[in-house]
Amino acid sequence: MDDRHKELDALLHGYFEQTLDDESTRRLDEMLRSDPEARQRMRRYATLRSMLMEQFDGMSETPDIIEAERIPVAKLAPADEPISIQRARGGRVRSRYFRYAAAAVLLIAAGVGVWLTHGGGERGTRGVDASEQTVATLLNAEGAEFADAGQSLQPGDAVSRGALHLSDGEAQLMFDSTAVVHLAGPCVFEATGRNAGRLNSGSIDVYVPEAAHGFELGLPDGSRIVDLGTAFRVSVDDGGATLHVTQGRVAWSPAGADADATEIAAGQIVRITGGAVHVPTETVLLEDRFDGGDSPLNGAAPDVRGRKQKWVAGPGFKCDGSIAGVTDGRDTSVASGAASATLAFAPVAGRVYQLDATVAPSPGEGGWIAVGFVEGQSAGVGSRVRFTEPGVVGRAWVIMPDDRPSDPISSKLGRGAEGNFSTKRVSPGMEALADSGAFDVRIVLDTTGGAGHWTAAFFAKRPQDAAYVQVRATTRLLDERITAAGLAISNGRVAGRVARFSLSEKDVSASAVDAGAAK
Amino acid sequence: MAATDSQPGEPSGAFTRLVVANQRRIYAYLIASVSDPHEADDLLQETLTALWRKFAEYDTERDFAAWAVGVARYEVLDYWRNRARAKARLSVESIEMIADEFAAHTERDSDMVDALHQCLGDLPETHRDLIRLRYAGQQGVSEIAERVGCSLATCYRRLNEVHRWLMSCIDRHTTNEGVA
Repeated sequence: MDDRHKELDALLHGYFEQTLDDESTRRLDEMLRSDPEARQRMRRYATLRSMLMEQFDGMSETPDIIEAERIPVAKLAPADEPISIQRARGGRVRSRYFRYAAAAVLLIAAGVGVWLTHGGGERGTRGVDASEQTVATLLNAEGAEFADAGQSLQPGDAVSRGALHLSDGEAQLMFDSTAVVHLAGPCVFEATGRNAGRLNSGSIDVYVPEAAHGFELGLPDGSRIVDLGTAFRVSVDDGGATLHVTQGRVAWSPAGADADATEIAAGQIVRITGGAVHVPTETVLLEDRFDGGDSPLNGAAPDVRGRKQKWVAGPGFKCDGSIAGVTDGRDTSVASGAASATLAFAPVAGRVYQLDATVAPSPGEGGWIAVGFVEGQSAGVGSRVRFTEPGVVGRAWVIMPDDRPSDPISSKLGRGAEGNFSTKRVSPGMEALADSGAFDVRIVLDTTGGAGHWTAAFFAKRPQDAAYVQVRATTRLLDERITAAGLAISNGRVAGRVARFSLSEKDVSASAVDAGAAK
Repeated sequence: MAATDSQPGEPSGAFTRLVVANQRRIYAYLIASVSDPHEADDLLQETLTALWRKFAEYDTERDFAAWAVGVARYEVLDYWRNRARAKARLSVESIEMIADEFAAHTERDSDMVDALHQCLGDLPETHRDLIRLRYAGQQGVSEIAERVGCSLATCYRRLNEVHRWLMSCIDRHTTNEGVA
């Protein structure tokens, strides 16, 4: 490597890691002011950092670190020590929509909305290609694979009317109306107009800001879903479609019958088949209101249970919902005293499961409380039971920190940082959660897409609020091995309370659909 | 895909496309100016707001990123004006000169992106793991050090060396000096 830039690179590294002292910062500043080559290197270094953030943002593939967490680190060049790290089994590399695409989406939605509402002013056509025959823009297609070789689209590409065959990965389109459609492959979606589309197969999430009210989505049976100010998710399969309205309301109309529109509100999941809307049967599988005493939760039965499940819980979890971690003082690791409390649960195909919990972390020192779907159960303590490691490992879960950082809720799809999605300033409505002392969290697990296509969507709100905020778009699971649902604490210093825990199931399989109208 | 019925006079589609195509360069300028990626996130939103408001003034003959960096410069200067007592910050002169550097560099960075992908593949696995922990895991150096079992100083130095190695590797793969 070229040593010319050794000092500058060390200063740049410290600058971006925010470890420079005043004197070093002054030295860096002096170099940047006096040397054009230093400024060029700063630009390239910053661009490298930006690209690395983009490359790894929400990346799923992480190595299995075997045995203890301490492993030898190889020398940089040449590597002459064997490293005891194994590649993760399975788990495709898949990136999430990165931070600035989301920022642009929210901004544009807000900005255009304001402009249209207040009449704007003379905007003219400068900056506008009036001859552009497009209806949407591709915001993100990282990890996307298109079935049509000619559809190798890149973020920023214009999208005209026609079908998009996404065979794998995810992609986001923003219509010129500002409606945003998030596609999860495999999926065939058509942009049919500047504020209209058609879902032929697969699943999409739709976000419709005020400026795009009236967004219309066609389905294979000829019926239509018209937005009334909302966000919703639709999955199309051979038997029909499953519609989940997450915010606001939509109107569904059968083919050729606008007058028979049915309104479907937030929180409702309906099945569309046979030219009608059906409300699926819902069953509460597990529920605990934590109105017991202060006896240990381990071994206790929840208030509602389908198969005689009992809580498998580490120390610190009580039947009255109180959580107070325990440390023995001998384990000095970061995860000392970590524990979990779970109930056995095995999801099956063709269902939509909804996990709800009300959790209030007590102010602490950087720990967290987690809720979610997991593989494994344990009444023990330590890093291997808190959803982050094999043992009791999370598959679709959220963490709520106890020290009020700017990320009140983070959702995850696996161990450690797998599928991590921080919600800071990305999801509309998250600001309201930032100072909340308690959270109602909801995770919707959808198995209707078949093996390999299970998805999870994440919601949260303050207990006093009526509506949930979707804190993460519907996302495909990295690993579908789920054997339990429950809570965890990151270490023995975490405290708090869980007031409610419930798991319900909606059977949207064709054989179980009720012949009833939606409310 | 076939043609459509876009609405003339409504620039949102064009604006979005320009933003998405140039956001990496805009964001790189912001993190160069403030170092903290979370602060850069906030500045990005504020910059996009300013760009949207001024979009009618944008000369389509001009490189969009260069124009956007010029707008972002004022957001950055405002940011630091409100934090006059902050430590470990660059001078106004440096921030202005860095903005000029970003604005003057108009070549596409797609070559650098491709080179990065290849260089990450060439990186020894342990070093790729360090980068992954740092960027995917969003873990600080102390957390990474504990996880991989090295001292804080060693881990810090390793991360610096990996970044330098990546810069050098990208240099070898890109065709022209001065391309991003």
